[in-house]
Amino acid sequence: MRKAILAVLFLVSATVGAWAQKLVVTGKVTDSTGAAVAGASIREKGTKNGVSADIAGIFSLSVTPGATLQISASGFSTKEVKATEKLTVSLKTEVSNLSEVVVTALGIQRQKKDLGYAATKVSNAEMTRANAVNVANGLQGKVSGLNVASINNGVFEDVKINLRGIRSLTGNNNPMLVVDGMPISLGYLSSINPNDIQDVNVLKGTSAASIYGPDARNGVLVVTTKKGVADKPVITLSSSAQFQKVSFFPEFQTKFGSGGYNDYTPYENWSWGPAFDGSEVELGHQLPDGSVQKVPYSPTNAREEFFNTGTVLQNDISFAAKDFYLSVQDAVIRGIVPDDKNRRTGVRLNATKEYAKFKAKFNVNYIQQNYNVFDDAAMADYNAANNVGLNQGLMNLIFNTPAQVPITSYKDFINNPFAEFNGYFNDYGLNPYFAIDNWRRKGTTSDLIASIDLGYKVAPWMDVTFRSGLTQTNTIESRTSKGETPTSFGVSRGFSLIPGTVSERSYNSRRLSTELFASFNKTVGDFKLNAVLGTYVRDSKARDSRVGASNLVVPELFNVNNRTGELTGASTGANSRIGSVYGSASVNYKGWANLEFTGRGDRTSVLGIDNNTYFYPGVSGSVVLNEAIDFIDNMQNVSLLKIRAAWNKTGNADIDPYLLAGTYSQASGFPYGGLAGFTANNTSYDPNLKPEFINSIEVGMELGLFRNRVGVEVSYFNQKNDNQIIPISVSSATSFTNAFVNAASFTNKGVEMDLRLTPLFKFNKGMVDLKINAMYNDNEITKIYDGLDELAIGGYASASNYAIKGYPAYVIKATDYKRDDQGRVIVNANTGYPVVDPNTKIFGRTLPTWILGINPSVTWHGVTLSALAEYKGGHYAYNDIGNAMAWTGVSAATGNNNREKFVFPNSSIETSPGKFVPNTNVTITNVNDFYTGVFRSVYSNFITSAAAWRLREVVLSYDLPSKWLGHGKVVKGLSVALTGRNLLLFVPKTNQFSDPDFNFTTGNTAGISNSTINPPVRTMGGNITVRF
Amino acid sequence: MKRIIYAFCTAAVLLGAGACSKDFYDINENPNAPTEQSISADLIFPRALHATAARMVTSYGDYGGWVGYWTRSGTYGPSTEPESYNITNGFKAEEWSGWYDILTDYNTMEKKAAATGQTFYEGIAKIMKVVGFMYLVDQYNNVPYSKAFDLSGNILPAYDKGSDIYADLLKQVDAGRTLIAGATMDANTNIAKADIMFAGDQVKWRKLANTIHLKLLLRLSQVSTFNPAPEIAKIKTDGSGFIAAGQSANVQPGYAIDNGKQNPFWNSWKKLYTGSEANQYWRANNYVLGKFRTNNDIRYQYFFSAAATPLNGNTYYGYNYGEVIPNTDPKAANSSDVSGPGLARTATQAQWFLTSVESLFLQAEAIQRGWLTGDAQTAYANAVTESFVWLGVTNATATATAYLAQSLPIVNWGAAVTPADKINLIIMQKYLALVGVNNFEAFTDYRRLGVPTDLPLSLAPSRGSNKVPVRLLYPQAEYNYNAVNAKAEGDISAQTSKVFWNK
Repeated sequence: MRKAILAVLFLVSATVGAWAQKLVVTGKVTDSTGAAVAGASIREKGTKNGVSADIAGIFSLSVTPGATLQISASGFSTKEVKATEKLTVSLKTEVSNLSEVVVTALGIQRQKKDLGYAATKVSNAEMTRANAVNVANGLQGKVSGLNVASINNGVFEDVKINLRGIRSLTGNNNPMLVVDGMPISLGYLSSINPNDIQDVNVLKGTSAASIYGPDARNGVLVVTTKKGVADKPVITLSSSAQFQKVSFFPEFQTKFGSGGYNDYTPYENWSWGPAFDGSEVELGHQLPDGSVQKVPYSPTNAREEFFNTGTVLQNDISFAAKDFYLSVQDAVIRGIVPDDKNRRTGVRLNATKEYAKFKAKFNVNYIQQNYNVFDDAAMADYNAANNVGLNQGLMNLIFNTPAQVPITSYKDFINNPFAEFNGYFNDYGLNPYFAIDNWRRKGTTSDLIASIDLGYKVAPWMDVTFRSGLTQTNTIESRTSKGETPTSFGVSRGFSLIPGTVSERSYNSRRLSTELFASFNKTVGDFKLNAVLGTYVRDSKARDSRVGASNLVVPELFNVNNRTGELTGASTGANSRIGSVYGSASVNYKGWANLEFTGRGDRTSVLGIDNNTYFYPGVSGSVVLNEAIDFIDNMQNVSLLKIRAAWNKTGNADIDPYLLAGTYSQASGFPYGGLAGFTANNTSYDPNLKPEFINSIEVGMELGLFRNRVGVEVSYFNQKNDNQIIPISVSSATSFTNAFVNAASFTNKGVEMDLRLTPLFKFNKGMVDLKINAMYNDNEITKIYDGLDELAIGGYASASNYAIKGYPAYVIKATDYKRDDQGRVIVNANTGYPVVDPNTKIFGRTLPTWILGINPSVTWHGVTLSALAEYKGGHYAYNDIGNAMAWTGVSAATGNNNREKFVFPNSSIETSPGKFVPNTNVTITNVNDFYTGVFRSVYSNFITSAAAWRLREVVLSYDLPSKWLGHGKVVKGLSVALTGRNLLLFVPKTNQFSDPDFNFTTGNTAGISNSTINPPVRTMGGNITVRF
Repeated sequence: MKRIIYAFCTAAVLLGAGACSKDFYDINENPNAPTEQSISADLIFPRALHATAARMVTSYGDYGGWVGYWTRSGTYGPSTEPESYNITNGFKAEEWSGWYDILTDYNTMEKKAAATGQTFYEGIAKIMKVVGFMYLVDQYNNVPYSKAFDLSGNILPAYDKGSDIYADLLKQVDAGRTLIAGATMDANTNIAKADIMFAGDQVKWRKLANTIHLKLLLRLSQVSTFNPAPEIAKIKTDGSGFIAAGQSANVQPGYAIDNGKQNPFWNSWKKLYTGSEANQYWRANNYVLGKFRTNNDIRYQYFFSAAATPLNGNTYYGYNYGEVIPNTDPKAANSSDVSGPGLARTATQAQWFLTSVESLFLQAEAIQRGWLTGDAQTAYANAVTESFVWLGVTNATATATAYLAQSLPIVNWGAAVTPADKINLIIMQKYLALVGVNNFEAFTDYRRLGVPTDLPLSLAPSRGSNKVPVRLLYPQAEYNYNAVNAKAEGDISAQTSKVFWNK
């Protein structure tokens, strides 16, 4: 009863207060350079009366005349000023680790100094400064331990993200994504509008798993979206345009044109013809009407000119008011490949309502992507069905074209007889413009992410939160082939019919989760106690349905009813559930010592009933030494010295449902009418699979010097991964080719380092900051399986990622030349040819050992110039395009030595069994045969160091002074920026192929690129942001 | 919006209430595909039989190249590996995985049928396993047999000796035949429908078993210690005889002109379902083409097609194996494909599994060897005639008779003097009868008996002194995933490490 009375009294007094005389203070909060400090908190000292500044740093607050205002903001030292009607408050940058707040599990804000594990915060400004369309790209190079690799350059901006290397040899190594407290699939990262994000907190280790569950074993990206702060609404408009140009082509030879063995052939895709001489030559066959195309026999740049300038146009509008945020974004991406397009449109609404002890939050985000791209896979299928090799991807069609061919003149493949399907010069490859037009993949993906958060303050020391989340993805996609029937002329050239086909896909997945947790905070003397107890349940459902017709009748009518033959299709569903109970308890002593215990128990539907429950504990602690020990506290120039340590165990069974029993499927055309025919699938499953566990330790040190102008953070981590659930490869004689078992073990360790110099130095009204982050990462496989020491992870049979006992994960194993005991290449005494050694050899790892990010920035008045350079090194990559280009003789390597015969360097000849003498004079009989033969079979010829330096971002931005804008009466802020992404890429000379980060999959296989991957681009553009 | 609210309510109520019960997590039964628990013999059998027949006619193009049947067209550049006979572990690696894949299904069929008393299915599974292992041993010699199909007990299956496997295959074919003979239709659910070869005809299955039995025995003809008599006795005991003229064992699930549903031979070598030419790589080999054309043998017009666009009046045009073909030479469209009208009649024709032609030649050889009773010359003439009939040659019998009547040594029975000559004559005519029909058998006979005796070796410049390989190398996968057993076989040479029956 007493409490109720108190509450009433409080309400009354508040009401009474409102009648008293008031002073309305309006003002602006800036930093020392005059730039606005958004979201600064302005509070009337000694009262609960307060407000937050808006994005432009502007605030307005009614106070008692004569009051003192306390102005504070994260990253700045708090300032007290006397209240006057107009105010401009300049805050001093504190840049102190001490006051940094990070968002940890469940959205709980914690002082960074209390944490026993590493966490890094990336603000919206840092992330979006170079107009990255994808959140992941915005994080590239900015967080130590985070490896974000763009694996292709296309309109989808595929990325692969790892934190602290890998923890699963064959399974999931993706970090967990949590948006506003709700765990959602990492894939949504490419859907979320980066401008909606307030900050991203990167929890690097496995520590968060005890609260977030098994998905968090690979680290967590905690994304917090914006919510309105100011009473006065702020409207922000921003618009950016960026242009993409190919920055790196594979190196070509430009001396020789089409043909074979030095003879000119007008319809060859081989460039093994005679040297260019500028004469006029025929190209292609004589057409039935007698016309013949003639071109100068000299190299062109047509292969480079084939690519368009890509464009990325983004338009944003947002409306923010107190506890309310609404935004709309439209991003249109046109790729460098003609006709590739993706448009992303999203709406977000974040709303919060607080009423006394009750708090309700509703966030909803709807994103639609409409894309229309060339369908590489369909072209590859067609080529495979027609035994046309080396035509996997579009790059094969472009790069392998002989240099004298003016590809860009074949755009009009309908009217230009030399561009038309039957008339195109090449007997062994299609006109790329025709291919792009014929095979299309079009679709719409709609993502809905919504969450409800209900909070109740049961007591001053206890909060209860209920959170329910929904994510839903719908993809409707159609893949089409227009089809082409060759004329009799085309048939005589060996062209086969391209069927008109359509395949429709409907993919629907939804994930529902509910969570209920209570948090407790209590201070007892010098001890601050903190505890969380919660429960989480998740249900995931998906259905993937496809239906298709493989022979359309009426041309270009893409409907499955328009067909001959049977409908093709399949529909698979999946449903899985996981439920957990978790808790944590921490005690903090005097603000400088912190100890935390965590524990979580999970039950999953994907394991057998007897194995589906597992528990994992953890403990972490930290001590702020400069506060604990007077001696250090008294040391000048040391503003922070913290040490921390964490140990935890994490369990998971991150496998798809239904992986406990082998299955059968209909194949080889079955069913034939009423006749069914099943065959066993090739993977065996163990019904007694158990969860796998990770034992992880982490120790770290954080140091602040010179009033925190210098910040250093170092972490060491060591993770032991045991009992991994992996599909091992087995002999086909066992009935299977793969078996899912609990098997491999490996350790993963590394060091992360962050150095922050803020400022590095100051000059007249300006300053220079420097941030450097680095990670060293290594791992070693300790066991695969009894009797099995290696495991193929993926790639080509002759150049593949392997996990091999005693080696790091992963290594690339590839074919090499047969060599003698001194490492010399053995050549045939008569022909001079080397041979392939069928025993593949290890050529190095495929994941980087070092990742380094360097981020200098200069601020002067309202102008900021910032750059970000990134280095990755210590790893290797296989470039299959090099192999294809050796076959056709277009690669730089095939032009070596003007195609004169040569003695194979460092080679030897076997004179009698086991006896080798150096080869000094036996030359390779035929260079053409050598490069198209054994050179290509030796896949190590296309393995290069994957080391690269990248100039990731350069940004020049300018905030217009508020006096130019009429002191914020209408326009509160205006900033313009020039941005560049991936401006420079430096790779070793041996890498003549592509960006070594490019890879054919976002799965675990690394460093394997092929001809479906576009060349890398550099992006340049600008943006303008206006706030009202 | 309504949907979202509904979803949340569902989540709150269902998950909240259900999360505590054990059943809530018991949702892992596969809704998409049958598992071993729910599968039965009649659901496996049709596809396994189709896949077996398809593999036999679509996988052995390279052997067709090696034995002089087929060769690469002028449209393609050299295929160095097969044409230099210098094969590696990667060459035809799918033979290993492909056969074990099919054998796995027969093995499951056998187990399932045995457990339910379906002895017809069980017997058929045994016989088909015999066929599969025969193909494996004939290509690899020692392979996993007794330790195969047992992942939990033998994840690294040890290899059995080829000769030991053959010894057991002889027992298995007999056991299978006995099971079939004693089976009742009622106990074998759906057999009339699932048996897409003989529609559940027990006698036909026993004839097939006997023919396969005879084929196994003939493989062993050159093994010095081998005595066929006890095995021949078992065939006689069964009493059903062999596949006779006009009784080819054909598979017909209901082939149709549709994606993936065409007759496998047609689909691989004639035309795709779209109507496009299926294969521009394999073309007639000049060696075998010459054997027909210089000996008044019309059959080449049935094994091979007339060129689509003949050049210089060369309606039937072939190439030489391994040759470097100049760019100016005729291309695929100007040469004879390997799916002539005697082989590829329609896209929906039944697929031969074991032809009457082959059966008659097997019997002819066995009679000539004295293993079976009968007149060898008559058996020989019947086999040759059956080839003409089977191909659909116009006036087949008369044409065959005229062909046989020639005094040419390639066909004349009397011209073969010694028993060895007569065997060579029978095998040479068997060779001429199985072009594209059974490339594997021709490759096997070439290794076993050296017929054709005048087969030219590859013209590939990189051949060196290599001869036609005597076997395949174990696939790389075995050295990777079953290393201890693959390495125990020692160094294997495709030039010298012969299959045990190849003396």
